[in-house]
Amino acid sequence: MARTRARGSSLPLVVGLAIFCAYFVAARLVGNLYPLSTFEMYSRPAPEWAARVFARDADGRLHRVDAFVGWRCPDPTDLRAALASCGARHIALDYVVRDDQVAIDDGDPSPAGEPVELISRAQRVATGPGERTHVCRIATCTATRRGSQ
Amino acid sequence: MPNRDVHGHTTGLAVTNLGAASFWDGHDRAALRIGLALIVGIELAAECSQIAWQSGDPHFGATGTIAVRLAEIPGAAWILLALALGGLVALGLDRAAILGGALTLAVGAMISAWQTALVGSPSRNAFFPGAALLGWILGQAWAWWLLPGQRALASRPLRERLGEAGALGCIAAAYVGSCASKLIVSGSEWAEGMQLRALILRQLPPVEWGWVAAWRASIVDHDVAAAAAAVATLAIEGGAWLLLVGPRLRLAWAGALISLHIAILLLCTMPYLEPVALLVLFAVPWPRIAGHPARATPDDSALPRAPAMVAVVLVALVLIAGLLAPLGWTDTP
Repeated sequence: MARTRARGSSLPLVVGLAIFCAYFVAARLVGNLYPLSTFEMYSRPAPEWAARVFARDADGRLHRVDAFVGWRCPDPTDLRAALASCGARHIALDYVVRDDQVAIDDGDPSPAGEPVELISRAQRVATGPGERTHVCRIATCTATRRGSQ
Repeated sequence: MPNRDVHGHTTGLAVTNLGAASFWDGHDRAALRIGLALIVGIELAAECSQIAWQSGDPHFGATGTIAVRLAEIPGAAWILLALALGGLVALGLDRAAILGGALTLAVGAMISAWQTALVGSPSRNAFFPGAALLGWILGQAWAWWLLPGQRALASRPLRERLGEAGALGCIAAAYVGSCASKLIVSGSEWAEGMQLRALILRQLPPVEWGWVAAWRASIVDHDVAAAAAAVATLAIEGGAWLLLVGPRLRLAWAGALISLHIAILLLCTMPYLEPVALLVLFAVPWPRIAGHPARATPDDSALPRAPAMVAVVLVALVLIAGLLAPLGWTDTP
């Protein structure tokens, strides 16, 4: 009764292609509704300038803000407001700014932190002559390197 | 004498030894099924643990009815996770797998809606396992309609063979959809690589290796390098339909996609572990690596390719998506 064929079945290919098409079209109709998605992240044309908030240590090295804990700043630091005051070049990704704000606000201020500057670094995306980098100081604080406390 | 599947169950079908659609043909797909359930479960557990603390953190302003109502229920994130895991256990044990998978997807949609309301945008990392799960249960449903009733229950190899095909269909559609989005939204401008350069400029490298720094600098400073990286991204994503064609091409293209994810991690500091895990699970020839001898697979040549009910279900999926369009999240950060 068992028999063999010279080539494989086409049924999985038919199934795969049909479900491929259904998912693709359904996602285009709905946008993003789990588990359907058009995965359109970063599909827009690039901004003219790309900015991000960094922590700059005493040696001038840049770190992610969450590389430090126990932030102690002279005044409450609102990153969104600070970026707005830095100018039109300093538009960062919204969720990154929020995560940085969480890193600054959370945890008890460390009494033995090192001096750290909060800066926004904006860089022009296109190459060519003219200004390519603009740094805006947000605050001078103290903080402790993560893992060293 | 009736044929028996790898579990010894009667299939009622003739068998063939040359199922060329997958490295798993002729092998028990329990590891594939359980692996998929684990990836979905781990991702949903990570999402729920994030939601649990974010919903109590004033930095994450809950907006929308779902987020506000769910945040009022003590332990709501963990209740949702328990429900989703219950469905995945059913899927992993192959007991009411379609219902279990559908339950997990429904709960996953609530988790995603809550997460979107808290954070402001959906977590696409979670969508990859969800898409694979959707494809898996659609493929199983296809087999169920090919072999209605008890015969379908007895033919786990066919159900899971088509489940695998469906999961790959959705994974491929996710990548091709990503490529299409870039071209629809930005046209050929995306291929100039400026968006890619902007992402690099907004991140610090995850490692301080010289060659990574040089690679990043080349894309930041040279338009040709930026364009080459962007074109490669579009080509690899857009060619993901090749995952459907056969096991060797699938392995090769999965390698290209995994390489793309590694490049995105090194250049843009964006880890996409979930799709990488799915590609490793579905494309690597694990049965051969394990040295398991292949058994006969059901001969489906006498079966219809696409029963009418399957077409109805797939069209219904598209129509429902159209009806639910107002609920979909479409803004791009």
